[in-house]
Amino acid sequence: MTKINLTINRQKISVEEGMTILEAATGAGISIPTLCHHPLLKPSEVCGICTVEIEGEEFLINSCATPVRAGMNIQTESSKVVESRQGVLKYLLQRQYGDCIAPCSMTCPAGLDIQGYIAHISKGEYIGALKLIKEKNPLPLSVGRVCPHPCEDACRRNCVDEPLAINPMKRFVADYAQLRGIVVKPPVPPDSGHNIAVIGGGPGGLACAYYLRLYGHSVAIFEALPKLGGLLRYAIPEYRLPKAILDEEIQELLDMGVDVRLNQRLGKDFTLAGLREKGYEASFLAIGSWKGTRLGLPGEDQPGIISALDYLSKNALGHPVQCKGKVLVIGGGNAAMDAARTALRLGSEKVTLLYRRSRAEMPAHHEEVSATEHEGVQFEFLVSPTQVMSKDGRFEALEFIRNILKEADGSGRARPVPIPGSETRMEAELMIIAIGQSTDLTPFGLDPDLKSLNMTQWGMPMADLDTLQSSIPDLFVGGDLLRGPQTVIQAIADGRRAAVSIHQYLSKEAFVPVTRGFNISRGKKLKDVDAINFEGIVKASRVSLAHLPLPERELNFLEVEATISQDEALTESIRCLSCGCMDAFECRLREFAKAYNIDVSALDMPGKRIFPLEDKHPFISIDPNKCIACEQCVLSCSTHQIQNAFEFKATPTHLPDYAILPVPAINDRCVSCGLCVGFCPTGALNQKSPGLPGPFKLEQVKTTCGYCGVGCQIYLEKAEDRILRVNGATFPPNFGHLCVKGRFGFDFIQHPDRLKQPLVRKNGQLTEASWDEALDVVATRFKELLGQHGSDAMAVLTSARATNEENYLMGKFARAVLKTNNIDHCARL
Amino acid sequence: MTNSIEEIEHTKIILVTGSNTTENHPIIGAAIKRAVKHHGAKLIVADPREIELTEFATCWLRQKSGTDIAWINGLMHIIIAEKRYDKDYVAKRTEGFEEVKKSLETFTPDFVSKITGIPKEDLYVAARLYASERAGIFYTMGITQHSHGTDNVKALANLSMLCGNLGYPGAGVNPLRGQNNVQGACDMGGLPNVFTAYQPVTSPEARAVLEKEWGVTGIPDKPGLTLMEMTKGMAEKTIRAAYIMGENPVVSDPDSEHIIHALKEVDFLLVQDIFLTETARLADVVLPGASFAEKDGTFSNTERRIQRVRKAIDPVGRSKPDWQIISEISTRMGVPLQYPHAEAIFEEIRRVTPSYAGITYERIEEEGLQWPCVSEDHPGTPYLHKNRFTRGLGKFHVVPYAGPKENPDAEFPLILTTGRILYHYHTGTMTRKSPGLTQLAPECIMEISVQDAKIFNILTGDRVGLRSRRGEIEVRAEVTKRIPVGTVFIPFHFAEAAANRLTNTAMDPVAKIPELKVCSVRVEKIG
Repeated sequence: MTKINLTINRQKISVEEGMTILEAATGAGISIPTLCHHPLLKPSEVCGICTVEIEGEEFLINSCATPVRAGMNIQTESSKVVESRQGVLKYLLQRQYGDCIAPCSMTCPAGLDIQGYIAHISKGEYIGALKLIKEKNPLPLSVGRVCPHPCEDACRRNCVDEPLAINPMKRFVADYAQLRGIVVKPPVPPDSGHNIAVIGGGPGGLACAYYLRLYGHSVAIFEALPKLGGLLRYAIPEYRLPKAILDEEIQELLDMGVDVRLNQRLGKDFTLAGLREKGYEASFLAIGSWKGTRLGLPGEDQPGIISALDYLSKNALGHPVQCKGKVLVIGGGNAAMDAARTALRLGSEKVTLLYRRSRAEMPAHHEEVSATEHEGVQFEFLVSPTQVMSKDGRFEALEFIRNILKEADGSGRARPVPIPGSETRMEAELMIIAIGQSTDLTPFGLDPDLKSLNMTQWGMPMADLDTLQSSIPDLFVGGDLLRGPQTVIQAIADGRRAAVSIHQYLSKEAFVPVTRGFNISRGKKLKDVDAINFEGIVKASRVSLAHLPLPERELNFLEVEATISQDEALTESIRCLSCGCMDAFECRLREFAKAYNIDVSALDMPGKRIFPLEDKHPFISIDPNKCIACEQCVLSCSTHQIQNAFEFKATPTHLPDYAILPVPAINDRCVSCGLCVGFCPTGALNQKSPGLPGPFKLEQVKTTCGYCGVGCQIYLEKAEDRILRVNGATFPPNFGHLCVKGRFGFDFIQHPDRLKQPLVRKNGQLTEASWDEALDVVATRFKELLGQHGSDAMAVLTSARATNEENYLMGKFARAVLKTNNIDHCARL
Repeated sequence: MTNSIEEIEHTKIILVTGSNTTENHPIIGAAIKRAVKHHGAKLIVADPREIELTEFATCWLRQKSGTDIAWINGLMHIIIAEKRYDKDYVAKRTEGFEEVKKSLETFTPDFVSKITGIPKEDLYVAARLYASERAGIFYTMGITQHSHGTDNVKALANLSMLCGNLGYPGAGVNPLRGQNNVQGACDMGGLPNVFTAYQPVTSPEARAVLEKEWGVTGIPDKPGLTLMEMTKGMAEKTIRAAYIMGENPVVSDPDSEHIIHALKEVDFLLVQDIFLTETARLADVVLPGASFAEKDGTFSNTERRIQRVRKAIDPVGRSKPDWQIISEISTRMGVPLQYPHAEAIFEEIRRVTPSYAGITYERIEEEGLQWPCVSEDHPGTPYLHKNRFTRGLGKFHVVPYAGPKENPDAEFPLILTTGRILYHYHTGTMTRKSPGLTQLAPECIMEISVQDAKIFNILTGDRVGLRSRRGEIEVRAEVTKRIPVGTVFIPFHFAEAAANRLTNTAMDPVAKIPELKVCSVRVEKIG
């Protein structure tokens, strides 16, 4: 073979003549995107995304089909190339209809793979579900109890009946493991030599510490209060999150090797400069929002008035603010509900909650509102405090005014307008103010470094919202401190985001922030989703959660909500509609759309399903709405399998321009070799999977097929310990090609009928026995019969299914132990 | 196989006989189709059934079942008569040609056409085509499962040598092995007459090597019993204990009734399998083995390529890899055959198996190697007999004509031939667990010709009783032109309609292979 020299991206390479540019680039480690090319097939030049720029050529050319020439100077990522690829991608994306990632996961601040963990649950793989959860959320026992679960509001099942009980399922798997003493702890790599300080031991700080440990970095958490947990411990009441559970969850996390410094307040007990001196190379600042928002009325600092956060944290610290009389709670958020319900439990005679809008506008989760009301808290809607009244230097009563609601304000909620003359006075012993939280900025005035930190126009610390890096390069900021009061899961998301950024910062890598990847959606809002998607879905009601009966809640903090049972979790899980695309982790269109920064919102997409789904094939489902007409299916079938079982049908002509692409279809010549599924670059062709299909990120094990004598090289692809797919490996003798049995016939491996236990015949019946018992019977009987009848009376059938090693050993057993050559197998059958 | 699978796509002339390749070895079947479609290969198919490959064939010989010797000898007759054979090759690399040439004189096109039913013209076309360029022969059980199976293979070897078609890429005689490791089971000495690498048990040298490696004395020197002889021995009470690993003879072997009776006669039957098979149900002890996905090791494929098997998941339930079970049994019998892992066994295999000596797990980590591979710097052997036959000169064998042992008569007027279909595998213990495969092929379908269907008043979809001298089963009929007049076909995957309740135990005298491809039956519509 003649070698020729050429240049790709200024890199000089020498390759064999006859190679294509694509092959030459791939060999040199330069990746060129392609959607319609596979080494087994002749270039089809359909997708047009593999184009490159060649010096001296006017037009871009397809690298998959152009042979190299000596002296070529090729640019694979020039601006002209990139622009062309973006054009192609936009065109191909225009017809796409689906959800890359399910809306539940898209809505989750931490982007938990909800569809994935529910699919695990549906197979009884609870620990697998928990592992998947912990990839993004290291505190599932706590979050499973306190999360306001926006995922459930986004659940498409809302369009059919009721949303899935996503958070209760998460709690179930976390509790399942905890009750059995199973700790899901990913392996911690050896010490990286880097030290990081996490300032603030709330959920954000804890999560950051967890994910930093997974890189092998050393972490110390500096916490101002006597215990870790942040608002999880100090703001969320025991009846929602038992502290014993929180303690256990935190301890599990600390057991990964995290140092803890308690009672250490930033600016007072330590400074950023001091941390640097001690060898901490980066810090994550997540000290939360601990200051209650004030009413702004004169006299609100008097005894008898307290912020909800103070009230709740005092209780958590074991110094409850006792009040047997009447209590007023001002506010409509979750903290207001927590405070009101806590007051009831502390023995208050009557608790009244006042909110300036109506029930519908309450920011608290509706489940919390109902529970609060159910426990006996009185609600006064459409009222605003106007005056604090006192007696003997102590709060005595509140004057409020009644409101009516007018058109929406800037927040999108109806605007309360006072009704003049409607002032009313309400007496109480204690008033709890729960109208919001803000950050206590005291440390920012004390720490010399923080004084110079860039702040936002609202006086809050500023940081890059993707990397969380602040204007001080080794300081990363996240959680409520950065974003204002948010959810626990948002803080956790920031903790992980910070860990990734800090790792990249310390490794001197370019920042690749945690992002969700390219995503298309069948409808951002539930009402936008085409009803055709829900045709034929049978209604099934949501699991109802068991609660502690009211009388049993009186004057105590016992946990109110129960964990769902295993049966309930299984039943609930299969309600999942598996909205997300099966190809989400492997789709090349999605990968390239992200790589080339395609803005999904700028695409003119159909927004409705144009082509019906095709589901008749026993192994392959077709979604033409995800087809990009790359022809890989047709070509692999007609030119490699030589079956001509795949065809493209012309589309009806009434469709808009962008939709006029042929529709893939399988005819009855199909022999189910599955090459088409393996080659499809998008989710248009999918391998069917019984039950909830995932998708999962699959782990591959290369091995040899167990069917015929060809010995195809295959990848067994598994999630957890379950084989979900088989793919051909591009090695001899099959070079990626498989037959129907090799690709799809793997159910037997983990079939329920597999023999799992030795069987020994007793009284004529085969009966389960231990290995010891069975092996003893075997050895004894062989020895007896050998003694009585000699070696010639022994017969051994070895197996054409077993390995060489096993066949060899069987031969050795026959010849060296039984001393017979009576050994054979069914080679002739 | 003498050749490699990779060579097929570039082979100029391909002769496929007794192999429904696209259904039983689909990857090879597709390679043959690509050779024809993309690379201009010419395909000759010799098969009574109209298999998919006949669509791609330049020439299709439709012989009567069991008459293979006649057409193979017939082709040679024409090639010699027309002086199309490779005289140089025959002279330099073979022996025994003159004798064979003489024996072929009677196999005139007329004679052959009469026996086989193949039109004379087709014989000429096939003979000329085969002799025209380097040609590869591919066959499976359609050639071997006959009472004269060995002779069929010898005849193909004669044909191949005659045209100088051995010892080159793509040119050779290629049995396509049916089971994942049937090649390896043979290589490892899982046969009564040979140890590993086909060293005869009668060889004192081979025994000495093994006795030294194994640290034992008294390895038996007389060949043992073959499978069919064992079952006979069981029935006659000369075999008193049997250990069956990963085989299901009740369904796979001819004359199931006889097998069941035999297995019931032994004093102690141990079966080791992944499922409670029809055979396991008869056992005294059943031990659960691990599937290929749950253990490490190697398989040797049909092209002699040793490839890694890797553990992907933990053994299901309390099952264990078969080698561990054998090890534990031997240990309890006082001869501990113990190894830390599969690779340790392989290292021992290398020491006593010359053709495997150069293969290590490390070398086959990425890609397998083909034996013979005699040293660690040996690249493996993609095709055999290059420049020289293993035995020196290639030996021509005189192969006289022989037909099937059982022929149709008034009582059993049809020929039954058995085989596999694409969607199932062997006795179905694996594939019938797949809902998708079951959907594609839910039950035993009997192919019957249009003409016979008319005679026996059978329509597609009818339930049909199929009876031979040995037993009876019930199947569903499919009337098709795929099958020739006078013959019916059923697959043997379905235990509830086990083909082998009908088949004949007549054996080839050398290989002891049963005549599963031909027996006589009658059909009756049910209801």
